[in-house]
Amino acid sequence: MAHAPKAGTPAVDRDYAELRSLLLAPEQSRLEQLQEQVEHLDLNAHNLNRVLPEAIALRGDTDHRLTHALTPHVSEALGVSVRKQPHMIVDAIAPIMMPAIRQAIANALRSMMQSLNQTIEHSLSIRSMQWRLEALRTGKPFAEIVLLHTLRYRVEQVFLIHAQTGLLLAHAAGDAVAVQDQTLVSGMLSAIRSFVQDSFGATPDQALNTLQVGDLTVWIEQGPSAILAAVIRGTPPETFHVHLQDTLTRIHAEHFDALARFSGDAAPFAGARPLLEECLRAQFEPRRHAIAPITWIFLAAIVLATIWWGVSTFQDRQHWQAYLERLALEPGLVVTSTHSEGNRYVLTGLRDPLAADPDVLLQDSGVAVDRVEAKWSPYYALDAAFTLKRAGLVLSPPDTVRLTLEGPRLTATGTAGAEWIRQSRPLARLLPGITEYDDRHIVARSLEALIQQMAGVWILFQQGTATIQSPDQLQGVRRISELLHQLDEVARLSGVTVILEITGQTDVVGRSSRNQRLSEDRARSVLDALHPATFSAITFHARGIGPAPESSPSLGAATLPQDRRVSFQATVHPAS
Amino acid sequence: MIEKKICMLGAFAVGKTSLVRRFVTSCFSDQYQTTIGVTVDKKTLSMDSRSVTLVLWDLYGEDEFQKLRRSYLRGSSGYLVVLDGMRRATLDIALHIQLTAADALGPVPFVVLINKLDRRPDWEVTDQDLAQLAQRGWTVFLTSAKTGQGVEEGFTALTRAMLSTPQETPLAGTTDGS
Repeated sequence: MAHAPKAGTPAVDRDYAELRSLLLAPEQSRLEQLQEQVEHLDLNAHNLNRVLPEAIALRGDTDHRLTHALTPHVSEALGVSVRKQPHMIVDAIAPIMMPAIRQAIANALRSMMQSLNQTIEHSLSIRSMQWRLEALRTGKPFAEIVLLHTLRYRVEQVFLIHAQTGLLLAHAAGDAVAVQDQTLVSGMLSAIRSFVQDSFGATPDQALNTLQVGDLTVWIEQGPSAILAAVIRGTPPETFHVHLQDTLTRIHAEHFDALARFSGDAAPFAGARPLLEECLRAQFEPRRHAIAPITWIFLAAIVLATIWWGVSTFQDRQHWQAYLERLALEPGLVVTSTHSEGNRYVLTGLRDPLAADPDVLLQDSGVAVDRVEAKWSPYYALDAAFTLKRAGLVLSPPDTVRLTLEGPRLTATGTAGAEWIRQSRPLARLLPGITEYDDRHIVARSLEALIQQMAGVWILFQQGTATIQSPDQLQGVRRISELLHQLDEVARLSGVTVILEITGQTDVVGRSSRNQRLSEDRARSVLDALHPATFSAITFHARGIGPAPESSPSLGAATLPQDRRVSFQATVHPAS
Repeated sequence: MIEKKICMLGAFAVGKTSLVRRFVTSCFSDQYQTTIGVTVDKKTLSMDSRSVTLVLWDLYGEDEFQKLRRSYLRGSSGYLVVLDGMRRATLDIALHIQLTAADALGPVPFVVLINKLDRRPDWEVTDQDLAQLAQRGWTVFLTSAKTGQGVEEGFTALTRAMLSTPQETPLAGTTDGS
């Protein structure tokens, strides 16, 4: 057994070193070499580069520490690289990013244009006003309301579901579509299909293929390994079924192996997503350029109604104006104001009771009678015609009297009884518009007429008598008395005096003296019978003239009764 | 991302929906709501650095009026058979259901959850019953949807089994999940 030489002996140390050098020289040299390598390991890139890739891969499989350690440095290095050489990064990612950017921009622009077009199209129409009200009422955005009303159909979501497990393979949804948890929706959809199929005893090839909730419809296409379910708002065309079936067939063809081996990992079906996105179709109501026939009819009806109303109104106005002009021309009618109340005319005015009836005029005017409310106040019109007419009404002259008017002077001509002449005088002066009444002519003519009438009355006597006792004699006396009363009154009204000559006559039979006396007796008999004292304006003169000169002269022949008469002759004299 | 369909099976009112709610949302409600048909829920788990989404089909509870519909089971990668520890009858139903599921799905992984662990003193299911289940080679978890005890573990165990080998035979052994 070897022992090591004790330290402190130089000779021994030297020998020992020499021996060691002789025995272990090659190993010593190698050890020193290795020691140097170990001590300078971090500086030796030559050694490190041989194990670095494997080392990184190995560590990466073990845990994430390497990733965590490198992440900040890689990020920083990337940042520095981008700042220093931006073109390099741009060149590198441009082929990847540009198509994606172009597609994103195109999608965004398309969505924006669609929204803008719809908004502009509907911003000013009556329908859009209704939709704005609906938006206010429901609290939904206007764009959403427009979408709901103009949308014919829109495929909002498409689910690709594994037929056996009900697990979701792929999913695509449109812009601005509220998406629920796709996994749960997928599961529930499968569950509902199973429930329906079991509950209603359907055969395996009879599956639920349509669900409808409100305006949402779910169309389900069944494939051998997968189901395609499209959530559609609105009413899609039947041809969309064909598109869904084609898509499902294509997916089955392209992912046949993945479907067969599916065990929960949906990653292989990411490639089916573009196919699903192609199913996200939408169709809006075509823009209506043409106006519907009913709108034309409606507009035409409005135009015709407006024209009819305009013409009617114009004609009505014309008739009304003509009526007013007619009223203005009509004496005794004065329109003081007119105005319209709705479709009625209100008229106020003055009407002489003798004027024409405005209602009769209205009936002839063409204006509807029930549209006019007239308020006429009575008044006296002072027109000559009305004054004269009113005089005629008030005085009620007999047919033998004619009234004329000259200014304020009313003149009565013709003949009339004393009574009327007497009554008309005070009345005439009370008539409005008349300040003077002239009845001199009528008085004179009346006197003449009375005198003439009296001249025509004879009272006949029997031969040799002078008494008045026969009915004819008494009637003649009454007649003369009546005339005298009128004559007396007219004379008094006119202020004249009448002298009445009562002349008695006899026939030629008998002596002339006797006939003279008999004629005088006859005249006195009549005078007495007339009671002359009752006539204040008449002076009576009775006389007998014997046989009248024109009496029948034939002797022995029969005498005429008129030869034995009493006659009357009146003369007018101005009052003394 | 991997998705797996899982069915919740069991007699009525054993707590299937409560377990799903506890597992998915960590919530529990005493108010019983019967499931009509099926409800679908999901939960994403991270397992062995892999992300797995479980799509949970919560089926209506089976009783004498409603039998399990095989169409719901189709495509399931695994299933959970739930029974109520306080009602021994649910054990018999669970045995029947498992046979049906195995017949429909083949040898896919499943886990048995004996629920209502929070009321263990009132249980009718005995330790002997549990031992018999273990003897069958079934993986049994004692769970409480109310407290959350054993729930996560039950689902995780099934998930792990599904991910390992789809054709793998059911897990063996019994655990109370604590």
